[in-house]
Amino acid sequence: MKTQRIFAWLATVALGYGLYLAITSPPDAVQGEFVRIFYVHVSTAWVAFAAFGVTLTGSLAWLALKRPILDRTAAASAEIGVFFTGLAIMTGMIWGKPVWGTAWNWGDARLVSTAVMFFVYVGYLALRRTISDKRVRANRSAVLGSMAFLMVPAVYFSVNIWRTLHQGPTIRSDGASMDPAMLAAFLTNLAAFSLVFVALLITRVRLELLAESVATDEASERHGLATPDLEML
Amino acid sequence: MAVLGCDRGATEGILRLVQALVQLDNVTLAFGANQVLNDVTLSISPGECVGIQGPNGSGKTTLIRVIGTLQQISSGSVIVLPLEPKPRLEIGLVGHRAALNDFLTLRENLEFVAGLRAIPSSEVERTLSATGLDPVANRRADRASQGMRRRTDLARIALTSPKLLLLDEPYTGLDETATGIVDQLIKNTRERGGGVALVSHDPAVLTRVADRVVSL
Amino acid sequence: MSLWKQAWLIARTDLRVEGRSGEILWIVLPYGALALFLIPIATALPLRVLSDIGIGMYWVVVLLFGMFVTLRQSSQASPQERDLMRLTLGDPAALFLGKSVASTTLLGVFQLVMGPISVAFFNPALPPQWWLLIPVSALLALAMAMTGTLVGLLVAGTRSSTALAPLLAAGLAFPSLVGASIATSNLADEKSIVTPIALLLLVVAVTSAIGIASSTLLEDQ
Repeated sequence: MKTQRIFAWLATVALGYGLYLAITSPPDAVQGEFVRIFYVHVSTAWVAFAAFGVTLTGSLAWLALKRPILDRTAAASAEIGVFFTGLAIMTGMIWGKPVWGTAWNWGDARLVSTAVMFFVYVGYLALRRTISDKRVRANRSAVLGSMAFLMVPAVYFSVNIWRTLHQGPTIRSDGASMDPAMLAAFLTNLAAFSLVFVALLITRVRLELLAESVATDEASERHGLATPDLEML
Repeated sequence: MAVLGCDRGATEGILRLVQALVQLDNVTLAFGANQVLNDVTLSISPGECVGIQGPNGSGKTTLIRVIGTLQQISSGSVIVLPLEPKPRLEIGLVGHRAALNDFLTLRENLEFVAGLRAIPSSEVERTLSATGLDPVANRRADRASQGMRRRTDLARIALTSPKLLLLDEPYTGLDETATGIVDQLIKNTRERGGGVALVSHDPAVLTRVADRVVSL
Repeated sequence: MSLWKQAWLIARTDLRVEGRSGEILWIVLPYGALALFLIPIATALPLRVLSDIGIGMYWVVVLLFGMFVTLRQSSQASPQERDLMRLTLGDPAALFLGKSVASTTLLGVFQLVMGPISVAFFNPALPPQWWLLIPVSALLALAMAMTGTLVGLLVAGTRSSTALAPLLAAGLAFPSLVGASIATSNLADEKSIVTPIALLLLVVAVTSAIGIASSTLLEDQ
């Protein structure tokens, strides 16, 4: 509970500071003011990929250790991942409209394949909703969670093997190509969104475990058929 | 005659006899908020037929599936055919509905199982004759009557001779001949040193067939 | 009995069942052909443009309707049959392999029929080395069959499985579609198709590894 609060406060403060830097940083030489959306867009995309990474880790860890919290963490992270993937696509579209001249670009592999990844993880969440037995749900979700993560490298590398308009790496190994103020805004937002992710993840897992303990309490009372009153028939 | 403690084969044989085929301890199973099995303890020894009875919704079918290793449990322990390297291959289940592929004939359904178990097709023919199915064996399962389908399910048990026979309301809707087949399968399994779990809502059936009855 | 013998028997039985149910011949194939027929009508594109998008449309129809092939109802077991399989197979991987083999065969047939229909409807500009599309198609069939079979096992016995399976299968088959699409455009530009072939092979390798490794887990309900 305490950890949850600490992360929630940290995330709120960091997010506020990140947004402040995003607004006050200098405009981009080419993209002008539109570059500000980029700070949010890249951060949401980062959280989405990180969240799906946690889903993979949780899935594999469940398969190895069979601890319920690992499955619940994988599921919670997938929920957050789907939300942030949706956000990344939306902010990408808002960014793309003025910069590319179109909100949706079919020539952009990363945009299209991220959308496909979104649907695969929506399917992951849908699969979980269709299975009531916890262990079976965890097993099947873990298999799908591992397989769905194959989409992440497919998404990432498709930009290189398909024709694309998408911007290449922002920070390259040969040194940063960014203005220091912009870099600060970028990295702060990245950290802030990461904290938001951790705070959401802790809260969601805790909520799920609480919901399950309530269900278990209810289950301790036996639900059987009552004796009929034949005279009432 | 083998002497106890001197002959390893004999020791193993005796162990095999004394060892329970099925041992369920404090088994609990809940689907969400619905508690289906609550602290069930049950054992089946070689040659024994255990009846299971209880009102509707008391978890009889679920218990049969737990014994058949087909249903995970929430807590407790389940040991089934501990001396078998692959216990599942020694379990025969006859449920409410026949496990048949509708697009295959009754014979092909049996041949499929026989093929997967490397049982020669002559055995399939012998079983078809023994169960009286040969006149209708080439009928597609979806065009066969419920009685024929149920009898094919029983023929599969005769074909595979499992060590553990699980029967869920096996007599429901069966004619006298098919009832005789069920009785014979139970008898054969017991004589082989196998165990039988039989679910029925009919106390007369349980009194007639089972050695003892467990109530849920 | 060996794993491969069991898988082969399952594949043969699956194909026999499909032959009798006729689900692909009488439902999926006409439905796929109808989709190819509707695209030019719905888009009202000039013949030249239709010719350009012809092969792409073929891949889309193969992907979407091919999923109906891999998820065909006739291959879905009833709960009783699933229980029987669990009590009959020594190694549950036989089920995954057998069903994958059957689906690959049926997808091959599906593509063979859809190919000429696409050519007739769209008159696509085929690349000079068009015959290289045959191994690409075969690999696509294998990749899709394995993906579809795995998804079929994932959703077996669940609520809403009929609606959920195509969503999962089409999404997971995305890398395969990208592979086929890149191969087509590379052939049109007279470039090498090693990369897309490698992508398809990678999908096959990973899917089969996951399918075999998870088969014991997935048979539990």
